[in-house]
Amino acid sequence: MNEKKIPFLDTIYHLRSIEHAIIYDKKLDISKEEEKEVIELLKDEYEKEKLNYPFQAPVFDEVAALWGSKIVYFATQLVLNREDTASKISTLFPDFGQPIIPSAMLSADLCLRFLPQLLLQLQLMDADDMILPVLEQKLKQFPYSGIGYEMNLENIDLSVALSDACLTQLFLDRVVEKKDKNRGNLEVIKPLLLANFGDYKTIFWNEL
Amino acid sequence: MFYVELHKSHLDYLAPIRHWNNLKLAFEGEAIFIKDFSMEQINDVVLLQIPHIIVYELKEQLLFRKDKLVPTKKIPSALLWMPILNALPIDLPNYNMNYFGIPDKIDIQIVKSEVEQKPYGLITKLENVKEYIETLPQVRLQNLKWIIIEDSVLFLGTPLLPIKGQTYWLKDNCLFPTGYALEFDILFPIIKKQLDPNNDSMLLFQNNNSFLSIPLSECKPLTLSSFRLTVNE
Repeated sequence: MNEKKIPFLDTIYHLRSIEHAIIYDKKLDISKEEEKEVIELLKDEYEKEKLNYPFQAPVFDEVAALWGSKIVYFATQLVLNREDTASKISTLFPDFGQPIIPSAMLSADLCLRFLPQLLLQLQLMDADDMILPVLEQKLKQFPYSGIGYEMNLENIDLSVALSDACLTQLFLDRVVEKKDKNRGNLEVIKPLLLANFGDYKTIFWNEL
Repeated sequence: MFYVELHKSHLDYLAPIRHWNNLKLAFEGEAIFIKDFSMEQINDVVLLQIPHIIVYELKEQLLFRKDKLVPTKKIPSALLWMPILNALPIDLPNYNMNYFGIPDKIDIQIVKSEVEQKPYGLITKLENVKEYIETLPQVRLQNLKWIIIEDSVLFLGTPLLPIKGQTYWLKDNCLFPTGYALEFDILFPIIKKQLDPNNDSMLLFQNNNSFLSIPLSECKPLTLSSFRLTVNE
């Protein structure tokens, strides 16, 4: 076992490799070295995933990947560890301070894709939890990660997700994979999905 | 409702349609009546080739010659219908104790076939798909397997990708070019057993009567990463 305490890196590593999240006791600070290592790890993962992306995949965005992993890490810790969270919410879950471009959306998704599951867990425990709307807001800003999560889709802005050929196709693929009818029936999405299916809608997704 | 009439002495002419087992047949004096034809069967060349048949259409108990406006006669009452199989029994020839043809051989051939089959395999040149495949949605790829054969790619599965190339249909792990089939289909289980005794290969038959044996385990699920890593090596 590694002697050094590296809860953040461990959590993200577990999340990415076996899709488990680890909950630690009162570990809400992250060292700079750990951040660097997490970025390295996520970069490797992104390069691997990129091979399976259609068209030309956007480049890796370190800031977005790190931001996404932190959101998920803190959300994980807050599943159990709830000491005066109200005051911490804005520091733990800051907005992504930069313009959201396709490469940021894909890089952040490396970890953010697990957020919907975490949200379900949090909802089960306390449906009125104050961090729920905060996290849902993130999924609204990063719609690619939110696919499959049931939430209010009014005024959801998909212009970024649909601005890049690679991301658009990934978005559609995930909607099909999760059989997300709410998003699949959106006015901007449905014609694209039907174009994907061509003659074989009945085979691929008859219920849409 | 279509009826076919034929003279009793020509009963043997019906042999080519004996296997249409939906047909019913009845004897009436010197005539034979056959009924229960489907729309396809009544226009089938196999039926129309039979000499001396008269095709009727039945309307209000009157028999009209096909496409004629005046009825020819009434349908006889109290006909005793039976399946066509029963009306045309098969006589097996006597066993020939002195048959010397046993060492004779036949050639296995792929011949043109009228039977329509769904394509399951597709072979195309690598350069035809190289760039196209990266633009495809996940759903079009996930049901397919693929393998590289020299400078060509073989895709397996349905629905296939809309690319030009030679398509093949599947029968028990054997691929035949679409529009073609084995000349003697009855020999298929024997041929299959001879060529692929362990049942672990895909046999790809070609129009030139050659075949290619592809190990099933070498056919991999089609993903963009597997394609990119293999092709751009």
